[in-house]
Amino acid sequence: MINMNNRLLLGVVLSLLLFITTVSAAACDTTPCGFGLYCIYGQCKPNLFLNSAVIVMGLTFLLIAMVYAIGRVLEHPRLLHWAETELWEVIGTAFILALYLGASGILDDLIGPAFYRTSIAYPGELRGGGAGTVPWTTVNAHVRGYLDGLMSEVKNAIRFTAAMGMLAGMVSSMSLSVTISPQSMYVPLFPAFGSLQQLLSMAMYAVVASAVQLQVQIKFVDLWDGMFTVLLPLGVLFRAFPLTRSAGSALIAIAVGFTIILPIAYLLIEDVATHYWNNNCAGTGASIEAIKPGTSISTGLEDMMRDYIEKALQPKGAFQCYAFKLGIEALLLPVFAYLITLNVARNLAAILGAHIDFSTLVRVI
Amino acid sequence: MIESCTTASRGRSTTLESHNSTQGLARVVVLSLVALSMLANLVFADACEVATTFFKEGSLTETWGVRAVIALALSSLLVALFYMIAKGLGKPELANRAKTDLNQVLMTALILVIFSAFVGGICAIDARQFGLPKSSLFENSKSYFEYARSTAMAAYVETANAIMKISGLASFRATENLIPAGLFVNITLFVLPFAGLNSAIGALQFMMNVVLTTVAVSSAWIAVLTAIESSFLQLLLPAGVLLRCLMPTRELGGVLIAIAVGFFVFYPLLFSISYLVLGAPPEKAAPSTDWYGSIIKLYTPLTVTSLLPAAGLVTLVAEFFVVRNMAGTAIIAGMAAVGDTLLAVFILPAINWIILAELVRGMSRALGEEVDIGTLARMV
Repeated sequence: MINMNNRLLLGVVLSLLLFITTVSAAACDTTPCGFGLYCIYGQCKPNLFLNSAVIVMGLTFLLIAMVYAIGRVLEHPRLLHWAETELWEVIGTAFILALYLGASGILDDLIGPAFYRTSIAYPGELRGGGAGTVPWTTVNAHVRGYLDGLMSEVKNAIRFTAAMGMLAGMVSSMSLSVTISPQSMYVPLFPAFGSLQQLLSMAMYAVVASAVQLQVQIKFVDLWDGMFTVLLPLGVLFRAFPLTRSAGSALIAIAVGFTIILPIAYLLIEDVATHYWNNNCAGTGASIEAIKPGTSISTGLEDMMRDYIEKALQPKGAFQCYAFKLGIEALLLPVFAYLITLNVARNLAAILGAHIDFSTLVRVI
Repeated sequence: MIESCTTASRGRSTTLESHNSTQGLARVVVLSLVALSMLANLVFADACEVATTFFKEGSLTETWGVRAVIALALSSLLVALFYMIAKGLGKPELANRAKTDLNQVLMTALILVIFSAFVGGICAIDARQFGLPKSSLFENSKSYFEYARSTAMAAYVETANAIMKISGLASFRATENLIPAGLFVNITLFVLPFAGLNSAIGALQFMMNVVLTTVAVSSAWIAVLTAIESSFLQLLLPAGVLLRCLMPTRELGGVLIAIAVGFFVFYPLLFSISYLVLGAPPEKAAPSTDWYGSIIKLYTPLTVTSLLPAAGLVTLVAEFFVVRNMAGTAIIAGMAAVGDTLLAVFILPAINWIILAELVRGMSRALGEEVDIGTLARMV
């Protein structure tokens, strides 16, 4: 049977080994970061918060060790039990921190590129969406680029819908007034296009909702740096003290979830989305320039509009493209990504000793 | 047998005595360490006005420190009275309970000293070293809420601008006399070239409703912070101190202390951290409301060219894409502003409330009874 002292020693040695291994693994451009520096987006950067938290953790470790020594001298069982429990908690925090630093370090060098070059969702297939043609930088930059691409599609959709609405509105508002005094007659020329406006109004609602949701996602991605440099060290700091330990566990779980799990989830949903639709919507003829009003004189306005709408409604046409890009790719798939992230964070927090209720955040999302 | 019992009992009493002296020594050591750390904090502590002011001129009982001391003194008196009654009635169980209550009074006093030193330590930290604009963490939390409110107001103005611009564009009417055949016969073409933009107004009004809600919510956050800073220490903490010292209400007292301390210290701290996560941005300036000027600029060439026959229609066709881009840009600007607002007003506070609920739960578990404020977070 392993006694308490051997367990402690074993725990310390294992933690040190793991720390050394993960620091080596968290290489930035094949050169390990020095002491006090951390690999963030492929660069070694100092982190005042993390260094402060590690120092506080070290001081707490020393203090608890002192209490343990005093307990040994005084043969006080309660002090000993308390000190052993607290020592294991601090060692556990160091273990978690080392694991996290290692994982975040290899995220950009190993995990991200593996997702980028091959299709994880469809093994054996190469990834679409220009994979391999655009140089890989970091996971954060890649996800930000993916979301920016979606945002440009959304902006095109807004312009497209606005232009269609303008065209339909202009055509439906055309009216002729014939006055043969004292009689006058008012004739709307294309009244049927009025119903198209209602449809376009609904479409605009959907486009704007997607746009707002996408904008929030982009802002969230921009917070990753702050989450790593601020939330994680705060979690480590809180976890060093008994009263705030559960909150520290919650903070660490949130930081791990949103800086490691969420990027991987985004890579997964991008893989799924590009498998279904590889190109942007400009290639589907979804451009108002294709129906310049100048052509209406020769081809007839109604025929021209009908032809355009028929073409847009075809499989892989403009409407299907925008419906997929805005409804599925920008709105629905990210919800899955966030749900995966929140569930992992909640379970991780439970392992670390905290109980997180994400229902408020889920409702907001 | 009696002798062996006596010997055995003497041995037990010897063991008990050495255990008691060890416990007493341990207690002294622990208290000394705590006192040293308190001293260190007192030496370097600075004053956050609400938390560290113990005596106020003019009104002695206005500060939380004096009220807490009064609550402790009152609790001690009650416990002493209870002890006297118990002794008078000859009830040793009640007397033991009074002794337990007296220990809890001492423990509560210790908690107050630790809290006071902790807050002093927090106030001594210069947050500017960590990249925040102000030195006090409490002031930085106010900066976060001010930023959130300014972002919400800017989004409101942006969406209002978009609605005004699009309404102005949609109301433009072009009239072309096709066959001006004298006074009695006339054929005129009417067209509202940009009327279709009305389809976007519904969506913009929906965004505006969302933004109005965020303006109200961001103001509510500021009101909550003000209430916490002014009332939680002054009212909840002394009440919690009094209740914690008496056995029937000990758990409730612990909960009140946990809520007062948790909200007073960690609510501003977490929002200061959120401000740092956002990059400590300054308050957003309200965008320009010159939507009228941009419409006039658009209408001027149309009005001028309309003087020539059919030239207005030609200009209208050319302006079609300009108007499309103008409307699209206005909608996109409104949408971007709403996205910024939702993050600062809803999502980051939701994460902070999750952490705060966990903090208060942990502290209440240690001080009294575990309490879950998650429902409060949902309501807020």
